[in-house]
Amino acid sequence: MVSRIVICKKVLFYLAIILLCAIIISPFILLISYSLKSNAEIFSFRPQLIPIKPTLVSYKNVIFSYKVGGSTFVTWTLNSLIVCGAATAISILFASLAGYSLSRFQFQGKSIVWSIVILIQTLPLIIVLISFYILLGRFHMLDSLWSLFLSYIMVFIPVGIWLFQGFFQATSREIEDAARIDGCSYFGVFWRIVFPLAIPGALAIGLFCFVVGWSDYLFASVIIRSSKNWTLPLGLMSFQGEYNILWGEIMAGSTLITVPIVILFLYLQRYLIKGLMAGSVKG
Amino acid sequence: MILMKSIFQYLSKNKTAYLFIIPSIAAIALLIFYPMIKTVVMSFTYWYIAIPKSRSPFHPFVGLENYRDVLAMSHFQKTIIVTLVYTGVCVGGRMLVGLGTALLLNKKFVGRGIVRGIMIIPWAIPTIVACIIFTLALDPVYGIVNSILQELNFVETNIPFLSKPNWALLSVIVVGIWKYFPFVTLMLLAALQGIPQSLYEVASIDGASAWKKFISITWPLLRPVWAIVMLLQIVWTVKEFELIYLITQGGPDYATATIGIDIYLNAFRFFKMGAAAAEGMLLLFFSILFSIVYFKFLMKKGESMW
Repeated sequence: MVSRIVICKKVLFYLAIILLCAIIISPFILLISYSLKSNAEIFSFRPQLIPIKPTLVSYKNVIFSYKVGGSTFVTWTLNSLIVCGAATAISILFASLAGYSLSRFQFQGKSIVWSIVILIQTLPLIIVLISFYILLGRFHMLDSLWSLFLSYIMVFIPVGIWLFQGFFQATSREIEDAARIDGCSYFGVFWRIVFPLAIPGALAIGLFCFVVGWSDYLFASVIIRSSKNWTLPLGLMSFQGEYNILWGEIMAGSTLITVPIVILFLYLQRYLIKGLMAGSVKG
Repeated sequence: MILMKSIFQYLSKNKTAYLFIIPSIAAIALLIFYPMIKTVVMSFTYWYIAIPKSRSPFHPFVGLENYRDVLAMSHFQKTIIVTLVYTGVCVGGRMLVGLGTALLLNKKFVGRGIVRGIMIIPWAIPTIVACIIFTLALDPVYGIVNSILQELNFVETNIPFLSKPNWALLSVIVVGIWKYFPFVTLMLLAALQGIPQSLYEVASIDGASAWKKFISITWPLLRPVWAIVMLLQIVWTVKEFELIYLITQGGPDYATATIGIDIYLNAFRFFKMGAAAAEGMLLLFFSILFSIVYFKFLMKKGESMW
């Protein structure tokens, strides 16, 4: 009798786990499945989860034939990669220095700086964007990738400082002290010892920032106009035309921009969770 | 002179600390604070790009007129209600689902590593892609959700999820919960694993039931983290823009227009910059309120636990 209850509990437990997995993963499966369907199959009144006749035609269309004003998916991918990559690199450099400083040194005004960093995490950035847009217009910098680069720096640096502070707080400082005693300068310690050891954490924080930019629609839609400067989200949204939506192509494009990110997240998630936990909860 | 000297000494001692922090502070001041102060000023000036007032100054000071305009908007009350409902239900849902799944994943079972690994997927999928997937899945004619509901005989006719006000709000809430509950799960799971196993062993010896253990060990130790994660979720959700905008654009008839979306529409579709700035101030006020609470919690917890 007892063993039957135990078995029942086990079965219920695994059912809950399976349900959880299904909820988590089904939209992702749907995405990949739709990207392999032809448009005829997508526009059927009885949609199937598994494509009946898998085809790569949507991928081919997205990469080779879809054009808006002479720009292609490849242009937008490059734009996204360059802007997000550059903004991430600069922000990681600035934010790691600041995060290190906040976690290791005592100085006047430290608590004010730290309060500001935390306050910015909760700040609705659209407030900043309103006058940022006006200022860009005044300096004739609208519709430029440089402006987008600046706005991503503005988003990434505070998040970066927040995460790096937690990250450095959680790492030991004994090697650093030893290097200081051996006559290494503070910047030398940072560059030769701290940063190399922090690379996994820096990769995770960098990825976190990069993805924010990679999927950003708010800033891109306000700042960028012409199709040669579009980033991937703007390009993807353009598939949703006024009268017809190229679902197959949208799904293929979405899969292309999602799968590398998901793989990177899975790979770096241990560091990501440790960093977020340290920054957001331990304070 | 002595003062100068001591300031100099102080600075050189802390030179590295300041040197490391100055690039970031400069960027924040220039790119965040300067525009933000401009927005505050804008909220008190006439700033409607489509119909400029010809008299100089170009953007005259109008006192609280923008604020009055915002309060007089016919859909303002709706916007506030939608924002509160979206934030409340989304955060509540994420916290409950997050707690349940964290407790589930804290048990040892075959394949736990894999399940915990894929937990991060909804969060890793770019918001725009998530919105595209759900827009197609919820389509009234070709959507797979309707086809499944029909198959299971739950509904007679297809539900127009995104074009009926209440269905649209429910849909974006469900997507909002799905996208971010893994964040809560993973945070709570990390906290659960910090609870010493010996406490449970002692309780088992005393013959405590699973529920008793949860109430007297797990929950008291988990609650500080739970509260902080919830506060973070509130401040992040109340300003939500992309996830809703990319599915419904705030429609139908402002049924899913949270305050973040309404600010965006006012500023960048209707170009009523002054009104948008004033509305932004309301959102800012709310955000600052909650971030002060968050900060207090963080400080209190920093003293007591770590």
